Amino acid sequence: MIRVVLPAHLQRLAGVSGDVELEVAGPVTQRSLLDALETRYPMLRGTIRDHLTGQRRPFLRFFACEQDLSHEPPDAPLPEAVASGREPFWILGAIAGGEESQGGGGSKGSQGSGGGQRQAGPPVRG
Amino acid sequence: MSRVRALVGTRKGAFILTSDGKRQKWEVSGPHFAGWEIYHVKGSPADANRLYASQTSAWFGQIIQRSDDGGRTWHQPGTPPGEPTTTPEGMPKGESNKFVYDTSPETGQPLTTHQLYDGTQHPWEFKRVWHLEPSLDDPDTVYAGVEDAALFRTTDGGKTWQELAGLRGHGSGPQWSPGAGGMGLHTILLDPGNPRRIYVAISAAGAFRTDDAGRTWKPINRGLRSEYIPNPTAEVGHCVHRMALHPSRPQVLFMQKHWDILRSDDAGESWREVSGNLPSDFGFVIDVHAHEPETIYVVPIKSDSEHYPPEGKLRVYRSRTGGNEWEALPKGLPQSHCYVNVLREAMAVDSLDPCGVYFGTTGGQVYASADAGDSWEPIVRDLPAVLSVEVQTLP
Repeated sequence: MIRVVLPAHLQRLAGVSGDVELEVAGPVTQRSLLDALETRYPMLRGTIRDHLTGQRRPFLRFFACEQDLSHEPPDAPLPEAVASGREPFWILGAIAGGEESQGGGGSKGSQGSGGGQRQAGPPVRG
Repeated sequence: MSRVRALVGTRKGAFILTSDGKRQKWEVSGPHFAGWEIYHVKGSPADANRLYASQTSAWFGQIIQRSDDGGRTWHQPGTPPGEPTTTPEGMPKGESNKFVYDTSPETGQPLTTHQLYDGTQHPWEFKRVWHLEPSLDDPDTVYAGVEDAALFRTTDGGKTWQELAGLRGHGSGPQWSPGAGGMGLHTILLDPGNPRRIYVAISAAGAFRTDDAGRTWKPINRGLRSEYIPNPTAEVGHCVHRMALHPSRPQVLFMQKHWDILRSDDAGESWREVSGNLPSDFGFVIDVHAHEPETIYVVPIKSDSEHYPPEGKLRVYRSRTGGNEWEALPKGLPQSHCYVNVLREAMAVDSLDPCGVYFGTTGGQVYASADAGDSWEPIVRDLPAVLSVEVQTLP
């Protein structure tokens, strides 16, 4: 059973708390893991990967086993510890904070720090 | 006795405020979708219990939420949790947060490009839904104004969305550019007397109208003058902040532009300025009294670089003459050290008598007037920054 840790916003959207446990058929890769996640929680479609391109959304990062896997190919095998469920696969919102300027044209469009929720992060060595 | 339901979108969730027709005591529910930006929540005129919400995040993208019970429960109107996301034939089921711009049918390439701040051309990229406008007579049909500016429509209750691409495709796209908050389509006005006529407004492109239900569009910006663009009287490129109309006279439009209040008496064919004696004609909101088509409301803001009320006094201004002659309505509003803003979606009226007027601030207050603006009281004082306010009058 594979374990996935979602950022707090997506936990609320999916109605879960703590780790999500998934069965993944076949090789365990980012793609197969996210496919399984979205099948189990269809409300997450489009929130982690772009609908059309399948690319990771730019303010999200993937971590596991003390490694940043964000830029790994989507079909590369994930670490055995993730595939076996010993270690979770982390989906994190990048901490990018502060209000953008509403500037001269004005809008309701500026952003708060939506990804910077307080959440125990993955153990990553600096 | 009638009831009123105010739907409030904020930077960190949605709130629903309800009262009886006296509009003195309010119940507050929320936050719904806590932690997410709620750009807009609006109810269907054809079914008051059908609500739609735009839930959005720069991190996690766009979500569309729908309620069929007046906001007690919500769901994403695509595939229910736990069900397969594909049909038995392998086709994707409805994807309520999938907004895909049309491409050229001939070449498959992007339909058009728009201008960036530096004058270079850039392809359209979907960012979020700014405004949801339910159809006047079908709860399952909703128009969505999005950033980058385009108009989408669902006819299946929000499960799937299709672009009305004639708006972007009519030819002026390369002259559109983002306002400081992005290039958003924020105003959608449906003509109650002519289902084929829709008005929209875009920051910063201007106002547009269709007379064939969205197939073709024309700019309607004659009479607008914007000194901050290269050609102040250009056909497109104006930073329109908001438009409003009264349902009994849908050919009469009122506009809060970046600077200037304007009106059109001919469905946007021509505009004239009616800023009159306002202390500042910069601002974001504009709305029309529910029973008096010549009574309009604005909230003057000091300038485009100082987004707060002149003199630190929060005042709604009312004109009973369709513009030019304005009176301040300060009673009950802070008259010193007030430096909040009132954003473009954050004013609404109810249809009771006397007409109720509502607005929300970036300081988290939602003010209500049960006497057409003569006096104000805060319903709530400490919400997250208010992005939008809509009001439903319920039987």
